[in-house]
Amino acid sequence: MYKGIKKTFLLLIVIPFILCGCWDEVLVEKISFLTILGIEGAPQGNLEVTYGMPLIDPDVKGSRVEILDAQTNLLKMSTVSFDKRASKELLAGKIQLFLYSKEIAGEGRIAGINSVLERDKTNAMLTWVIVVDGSPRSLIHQSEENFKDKPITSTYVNSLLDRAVRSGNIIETRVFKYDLINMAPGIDNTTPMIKITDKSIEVTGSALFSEGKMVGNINVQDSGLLIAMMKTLKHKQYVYNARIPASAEETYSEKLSSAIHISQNSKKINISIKNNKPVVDIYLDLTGYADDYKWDHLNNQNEVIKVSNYVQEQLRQDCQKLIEYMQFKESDPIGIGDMVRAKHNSYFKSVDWHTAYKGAAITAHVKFNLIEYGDIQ
Amino acid sequence: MDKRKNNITSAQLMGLIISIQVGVGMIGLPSNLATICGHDGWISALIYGIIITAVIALIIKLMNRYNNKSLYEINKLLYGKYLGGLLNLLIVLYLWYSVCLCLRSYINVIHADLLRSTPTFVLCVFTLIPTCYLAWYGLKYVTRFAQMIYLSICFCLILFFLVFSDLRLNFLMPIAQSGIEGIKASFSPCIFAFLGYQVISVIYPEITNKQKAMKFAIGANIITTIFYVIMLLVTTSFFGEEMLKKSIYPMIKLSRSYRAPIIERMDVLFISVWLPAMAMSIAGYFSVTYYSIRKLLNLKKKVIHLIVFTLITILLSNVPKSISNIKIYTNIMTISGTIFSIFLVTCYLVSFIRKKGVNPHV
Repeated sequence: MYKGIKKTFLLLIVIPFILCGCWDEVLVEKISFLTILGIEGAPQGNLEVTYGMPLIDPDVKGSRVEILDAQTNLLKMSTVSFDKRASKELLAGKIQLFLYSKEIAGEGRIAGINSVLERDKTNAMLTWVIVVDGSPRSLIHQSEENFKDKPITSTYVNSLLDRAVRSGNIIETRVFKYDLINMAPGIDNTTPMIKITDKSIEVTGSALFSEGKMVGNINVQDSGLLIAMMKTLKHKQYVYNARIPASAEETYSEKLSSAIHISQNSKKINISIKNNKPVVDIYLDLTGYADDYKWDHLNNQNEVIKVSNYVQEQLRQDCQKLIEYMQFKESDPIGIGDMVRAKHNSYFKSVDWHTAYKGAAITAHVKFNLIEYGDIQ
Repeated sequence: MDKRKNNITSAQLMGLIISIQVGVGMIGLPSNLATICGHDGWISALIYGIIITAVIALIIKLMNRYNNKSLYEINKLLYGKYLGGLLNLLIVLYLWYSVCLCLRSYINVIHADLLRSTPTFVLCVFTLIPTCYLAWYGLKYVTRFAQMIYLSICFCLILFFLVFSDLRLNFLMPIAQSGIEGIKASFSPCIFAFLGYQVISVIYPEITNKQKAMKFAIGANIITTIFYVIMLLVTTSFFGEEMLKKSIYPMIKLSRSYRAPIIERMDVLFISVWLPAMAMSIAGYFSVTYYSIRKLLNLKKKVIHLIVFTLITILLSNVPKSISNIKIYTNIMTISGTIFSIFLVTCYLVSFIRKKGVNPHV
């Protein structure tokens, strides 16, 4: 009897502890998920921050996204400020996009701002880091106000970026990846670039960085070639807009160009140090499928070789131009510096890498074979 | 004391050792090693793993020389009643200290990653409820639960496989750049990560198939070493040494960095799988300490003893207040653990001089 009372008493003490839940209870109905965040410069070194949160409240009609703007010195302080104005409590665990203005990127402030996501474990580290050609604030506002025929901005841009990655038009840059590349010696970041037009948002290419600062940008076609030199185009849907050999009387664009879906077989980078200067040879082995080509004789082996050689030379020239542009901008997204650090460590330590990179002899060698041309002879 | 409830097999001992070593040891190891020896942490882990395997072999050899005796009895035979008693007290204090520190480290991870507002005291209480429950029934049940560690390790290996395409092997180069100095400097974090193997000397008499104890104890340390080496290779080649230096819990960061379809937040899954493994570190130390106290003081099995022991543990575990504070206490544990290991090896050597009670059976 006494033991029974003791057990019941113990149970009564324990049950309230278990049933009251924990101190960190979060009710989904009472929170607003922050999905898109725009950051640009404001006077006195402050930040102009724009938050976008989808409205999932059935009582709210006419608007799909709640947008809030504020000027702040710290990103976290803007959350504190927004919490006093937002319809629900803010939560950043599902944030998808970090939109930075070109100015912020050029000042090298991205990594510092990203640190808030790294520090607080409730935040998503898989958030995209994107540079906006223009104002992120006006992009978020305009897209919500004008693009009623499209999904909400975060979903729309996220889908654009996913497809751009699949088609080899941009390099996937999430917060964790941006931060770790930013810290790693001998390698620079790239981020996707977007801009808003009258009727849509467009992925325009990639922003190039040098020592954490944005120094230039390249278009989507060059981004594909950069991916080929950085990683691989294997399993990507990259389409190269190639010029093709044409006779004198052919003047229309469809007779002069071809859309070639490129796949990559291999990549090899040889590095040596000659005369205290890095000498780099990048070998790319590519194959192509002619997706769009004039009515012609691609079943003829000689014709195929002729086209292959012509496109191969264009690819080589485009890769070389891209390398020269990146060297001029002192941006090394391929990670040649990282390879030099790994293989010629004493040399890497003895030089300022970005200066040495600018003077390095980097040569692209491209091998291209057209192997498919569809159902037309 | 109910003998059978503390009886364990050598295979169960293996699970217990791995869980005590890996549960808390792996959480901060990559970043601690990156700070000290850059990208060569895996070499240090491999070397110290081999050294500790040799130490474990000596501990088992010592235990084998005294048939069915624990370290507490051996100490009295080797050093006499008073000095032996004092040494036993120090060993129990070391084990108790380990319980408190592991508990605090565990609570810190939960605090930082999951429940920021929940008071530390409440987390301590709820963490120790299942631990007390297991410790009450005896070592057999603790070691059975310790087998969970294999599941947690498998989950980690799957995570390593999933991030494989994102690894940059250049981050590991040039190999052995930190040299001998780096290996020497990494002594403290490596030893801390491997601590836990000393419990063999305390619970050895409870092992039923002692002839296999050597094989399984060494096997446990080999598994831990291989796991640490793989973990260090993956985290270093994923994050690079510069990013690793900035992280506190790189394994959790790794799980946060993987984009998992459907699940989305892989870190939540990782923490939920790793929490039992970490809790096992505490449960292992807790039950061995409770077992030691009962054995030394010859206490009967009473709830009040366990409650008092638990309450003191909770109070002591709340002494470190921050991560930097925990690091200081961790260093003390590393030094104590090293002294304990050296002491065990010394005991083995002394046993050849003072042969009282020596009765080899294996």
